[in-house]
Amino acid sequence: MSAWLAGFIALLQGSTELFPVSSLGHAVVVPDLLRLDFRPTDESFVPFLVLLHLGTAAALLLLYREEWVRIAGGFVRASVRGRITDADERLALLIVAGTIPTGIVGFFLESPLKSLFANPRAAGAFLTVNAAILLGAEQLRRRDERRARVDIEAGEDREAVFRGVESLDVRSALLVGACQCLALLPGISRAGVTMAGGLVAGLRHQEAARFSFLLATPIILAAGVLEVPQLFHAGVPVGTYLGASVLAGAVAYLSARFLIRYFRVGRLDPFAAYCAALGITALVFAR
Amino acid sequence: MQTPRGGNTPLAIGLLVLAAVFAVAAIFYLSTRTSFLASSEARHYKHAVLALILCVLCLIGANFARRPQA
Repeated sequence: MSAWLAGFIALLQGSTELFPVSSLGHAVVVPDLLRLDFRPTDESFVPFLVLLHLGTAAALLLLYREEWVRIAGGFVRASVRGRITDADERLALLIVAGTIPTGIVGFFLESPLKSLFANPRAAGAFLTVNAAILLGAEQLRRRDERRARVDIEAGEDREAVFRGVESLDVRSALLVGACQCLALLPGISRAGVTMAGGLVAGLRHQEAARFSFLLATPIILAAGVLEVPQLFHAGVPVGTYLGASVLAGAVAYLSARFLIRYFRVGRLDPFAAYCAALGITALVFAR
Repeated sequence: MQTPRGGNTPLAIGLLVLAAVFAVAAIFYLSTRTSFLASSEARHYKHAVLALILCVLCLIGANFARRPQA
């Protein structure tokens, strides 16, 4: 893989990993549409993807570094004590609960799902499904806003009636975690389905994005760390891959900061429109 | 069923049994070449790591279950 291609894939991965548009779907669809000479399912591509994921995980850890220190402390305290006494301990438990379904399902089904569906047309179809999930979540949110009689035209903050992550119950966290399992299908976005699940559970948009990023960190980090031995195979251009990893991490960091700001008032609709357009394009033009 | 302290003893015991099962699974995947719940005949260290994590989570869950919650 040339340095230019590595840089391009790193940019693609870093920018789409945290946006609700499916990085895996892009990795399958975009190279095919641009007629680039590589396949994301090739064995030789795995070490590269590992480093890109580690870059993204590092960006998320950096962004939420203080929160992660509190969460880790809360997890240890609550685990030893067997009781939850503060918000950090509660958040730690919610993240564990939300991670368990994907950890189990992903572990046993990731390989078969990838090999079954990692073709551009299937990814295009799933991108269209992803668009429908995002739109569906926003429709449900609009219904909830009407029920809560939020008067946006009067300048009322439409997000004020919804809640923060710390007020989620464990069942809702498990539901969001179960939604995350869908992201094993190339074209279904992990960020998208977890944000959609968070909205359905009554979270504010910004809080749904925050919970999505916090949930993504252990999964992305674990996926990366578990594949680290692949990096020690002969012939891996470590320098190029490390540079691409730093690039992916930097882009992911900027993406996360943008999304946190965007979701103060923004909705998922524009991402749904983008996914539908890319999905239909892939269905029509993919080889 | 509630213990005098308000914990859930049956759940705690169930989670302890599950933890033991996952511990055995972790040792099995580390020490044996197998294709059980895996893609190919090999030592599956990732399966072992996951089983170990699930074992620890079950122990933590059991610790929660045996104590009364607020």
